[in-house]
Amino acid sequence: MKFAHEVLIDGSIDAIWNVLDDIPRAASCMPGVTEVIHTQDDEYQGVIQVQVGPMKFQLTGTVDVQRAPDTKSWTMKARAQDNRVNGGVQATINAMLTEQSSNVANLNVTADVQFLGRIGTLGQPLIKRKADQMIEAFTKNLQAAVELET
Amino acid sequence: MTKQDALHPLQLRINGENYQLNVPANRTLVDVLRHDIGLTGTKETCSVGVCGACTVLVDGEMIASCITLAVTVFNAEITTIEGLDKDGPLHPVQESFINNGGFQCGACTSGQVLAAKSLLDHNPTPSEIEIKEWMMGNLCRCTGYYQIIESVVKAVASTRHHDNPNA
Amino acid sequence: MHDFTVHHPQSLQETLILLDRFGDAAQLIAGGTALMNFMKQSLLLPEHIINLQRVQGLQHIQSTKDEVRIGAMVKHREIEKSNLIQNEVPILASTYRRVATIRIRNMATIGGGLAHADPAQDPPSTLVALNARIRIASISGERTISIMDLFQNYYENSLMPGEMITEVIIPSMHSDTKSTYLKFLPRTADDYATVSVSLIATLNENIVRDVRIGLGAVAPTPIRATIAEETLKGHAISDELIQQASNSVAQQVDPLDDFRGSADYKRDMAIVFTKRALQQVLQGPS
Repeated sequence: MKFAHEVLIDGSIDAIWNVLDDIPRAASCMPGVTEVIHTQDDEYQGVIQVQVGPMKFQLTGTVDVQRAPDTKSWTMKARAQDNRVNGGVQATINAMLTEQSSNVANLNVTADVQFLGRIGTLGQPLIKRKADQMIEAFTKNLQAAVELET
Repeated sequence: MTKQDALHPLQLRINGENYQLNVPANRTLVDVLRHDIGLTGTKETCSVGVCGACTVLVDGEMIASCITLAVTVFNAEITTIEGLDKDGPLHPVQESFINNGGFQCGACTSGQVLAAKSLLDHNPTPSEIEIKEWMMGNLCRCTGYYQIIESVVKAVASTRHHDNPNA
Repeated sequence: MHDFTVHHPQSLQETLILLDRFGDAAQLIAGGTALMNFMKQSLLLPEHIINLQRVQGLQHIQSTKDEVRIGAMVKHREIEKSNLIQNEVPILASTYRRVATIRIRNMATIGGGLAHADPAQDPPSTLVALNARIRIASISGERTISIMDLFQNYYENSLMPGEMITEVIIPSMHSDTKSTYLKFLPRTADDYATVSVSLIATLNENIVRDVRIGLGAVAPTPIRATIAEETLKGHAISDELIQQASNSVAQQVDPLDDFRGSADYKRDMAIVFTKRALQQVLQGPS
């Protein structure tokens, strides 16, 4: 399933990049992320809890991040599993910042996500809507984090 | 109340007989009927409460036994397909399904027959539209439904004739 | 299915104590039609199941001068067949009649269905148009909320841990109020709606005195078509007014693309079915 989101964030591109490039901090802007630890080199480990009504998925996994500070972008390859419900996700997420003006930057996020096992049975449209809601909340939290930064 | 992994006591009255059982709490009613009691006339097909194959009657009302937790059934009279000819002859609905080609593979038939019986118990003289509305929730992949509707229509006619031999 | 422990409380108080004790580890089972499918797919794995079937005091359908009260454990089929509801809130009987199959309606309950909070179900849009209120109990007391505040998102209700729905309260309809429930079903008769419209209106000659429009299956929760309502209220009925009101629902719906139709198609159908409901109720024979 492919996602594409583009949003304007208020703040200087450097301030926004500072937050976005601090992976544990950026991750904490995503609702449901409870833990992100830097394990080695470009690798992180994390836990995200996603709730759809009474259903709670606790996804535990690893993230490999390839940074490109020159273009203010990164690519994440994530792989996470919920062993309780026997389901998981595999995702490639690209984020790129481009300067819009001295005080506004454009954040472009694209993702290609595969849902595995039981999670897939929820139905693609519902998962997509849930993911859209999460990304929307992420950009709001990112905006708040950037405001703290400046 | 039961402990996890322990068996849950269950009393059921099925086709006029009492059963005392101890079953896992997570057993569906269709599994209790088929595996614990051996009444294999009830079929499980879609397993999600949509197709009607697993229909049984609880106090005369149709339910989907595949999405019914057996231990939640309490103080009720269950009727399965085995209950219809318990006293000897086939139920008029069963006779009519045989005589009018109301089934082929048979997977849906127990549910169809019980649905039709339940309809006639509630409304002995349904119109064809009422039959279609009532039977709408019982899926069949063989007959194309015409013979099923015809079976119910003719069962209605035969029971009316039976009730009033002079008619 | 996974292993769990089943409890059979006899009273509401006993139920609320269990709910408080087990918190997140427990799920209430009413009719079970939604919960059983979630558990069969391992999407829900509660350690404790609290069976509501034997709880006293949740099975009533009563009316007073001003309202109809329905206990949370009343089955869909009972609502559909109730003479009291057919007489006092006919749209509610006709809405429940459209849910799934008779077999499911013999099992599913009003409280269980609402707690499930699936916006594509039939009853929510009608209960929203009826301004229903939901009575909620927990070990620490009771509260009553507007049904609009119950639905939060797909399958998400606003119940707090330890709370359960005990009753649905529906304000009585005036005898001169007209209503209809339209369900667009392009696939099978027992399906969820592609789009549904619940319309309740009171006319004064040719003037729309009051109108409430609930829409189902077109957003993460059931919604009220408030722009259309405001467009109509106090105005003389005309084809243009009905078209204008119907068109406005496109701004308020937010449907999903799925196998029942694309979001664009559902948006168009929301307009079409709102228009048909308005024509039927406002311009039909009185």
